[in-house]
Order: sequence, then structure tokens, then C-alpha cells
Amino acid sequence: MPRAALTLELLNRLTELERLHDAVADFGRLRRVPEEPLRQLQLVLEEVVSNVIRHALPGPERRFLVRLEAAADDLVAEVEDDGPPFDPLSRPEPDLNLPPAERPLGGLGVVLVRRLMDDVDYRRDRGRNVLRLRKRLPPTPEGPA
Amino acid sequence: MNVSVSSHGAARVVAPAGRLDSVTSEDFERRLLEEWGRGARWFVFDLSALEAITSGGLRVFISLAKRLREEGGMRFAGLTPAVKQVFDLTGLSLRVELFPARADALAGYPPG
Repeated sequence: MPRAALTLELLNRLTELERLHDAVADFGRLRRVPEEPLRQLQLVLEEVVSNVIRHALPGPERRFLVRLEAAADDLVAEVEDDGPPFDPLSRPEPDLNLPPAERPLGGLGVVLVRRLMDDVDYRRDRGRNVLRLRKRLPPTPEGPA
Repeated sequence: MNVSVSSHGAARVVAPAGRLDSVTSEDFERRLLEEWGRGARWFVFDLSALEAITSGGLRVFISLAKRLREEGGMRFAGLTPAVKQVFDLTGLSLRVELFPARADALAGYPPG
């Protein structure tokens, strides 16, 4: 089965998160992606993209890419920016046993990314940061359109 | 996002509706700091109308917990499955007080 794909070009502005959210929802609906994995991918993409906007590409207007691919058995997203090299997976995870008052303010986004996806890989590719996220889909009689 | 705030004795019930993400959490935090500024220390978060939360939303609760360390507390009620999942995955479910509904959270609250 061919992989269905969509590429989105986003600006480094947090207002783009809503557009991303809607675009992923539309993509999922068209491709008949089951609701639960789609919702999880939306959450994870929001974490990754808001990180890119705040940390990789702060300042003047810049653009970056989000690619989505759906197949019968998985959903793959890649987020690609030309900011300075940064692997968000390299940061140690915060201690999840601590009560909230003792926790650092950051670091939970990456926890959600790792826990909700089946595979997460970072690579530096021709001067660009590429984060690849993969979510396996439960078997269905028909699969995505 | 819509946030409603009401007082029940010394407790403040805060009910955000919609999505609590890196964008909407800024307004939400401002609202909580207003309540804090007016002396509120005992919070009940009724999350029954909250559809989704990201780490940006969790950050607001962690930040408030630090302010309440000396005096005060927070309880959470009515988590939707999507929000409960985020609390579970980040270990917060085991480290905050969760209640089925707002009335349960308000029973015997604030303590003492």
C-alpha cells in the first residue's frame, strides 16, 4: 500500500500550533487514522514544534517543515528545522517520582514524546535537525485509505 | 480557553475548559497568579471540561505547587481520559491528589 503524505511549512510563531493541530486532524480524518493514536501524535507534535519555535528558531521570521506519512500499520512524522544542532532526546529525563513542588519546570515534554511514540530518532542531516516520530497503528480490517 | 473561578469557603475552584497548551497556559497562569495575589492558597482544579493538556499546561501546576509549598495545597478533580493519561505518563498521578469530581475534592478541604 502506498504511503499517504503531507508536508506542512510552518512559521516560527506559536500561533502556528493551532494550524498544525487542525492540519493533523484533517490528515487523520482523510486517511482514516484511528482517533487515539492520532490524538497522541497531535500532542507529541505540539510538544516538538513548540520546542522548535521557542528554542531552535527564536527571533526573526523563519520557516520549518513538518511531514506526515500514514500507512496501514504506522504513522510517521518528521520535524525538520535549520536551527543550530540540537538533539532534544539528549537531555536527561526529570525524576518522575518527585512531588510537583520539587520538580524542575521543564523536561516533561520530552517524557511525553518518548512515552507516547513507539520510535523517536534524531539526526543532523545536511545542516538540519530532523526528529522522526513513529506511532504503530492497531490492525484494522481496512487500514487507512 | 475559558477559565471559571469560584470560591467555596477558603478553597478556590478553578475550571479550565478546552486545551491547556503552551499558548493558552500563559493566560491560565496569569489568572492563577491573580488569585494567589488575592490570598488564595487552597486550589481545586476541576478538569472535567479540559480536553487536552501539554507539558506547557503541566508547567503551570508545577510552578503553582512551588508557591504553595509553605502554605496551601491543590487537588484535581474530574480528569478526562486524555488528561489522565498525561498525568499518568509524567508520574503526577501518584504525586498529586486526584478526585472523581469537584464535590469529592471539596469535602474536608482545606484540611484542619
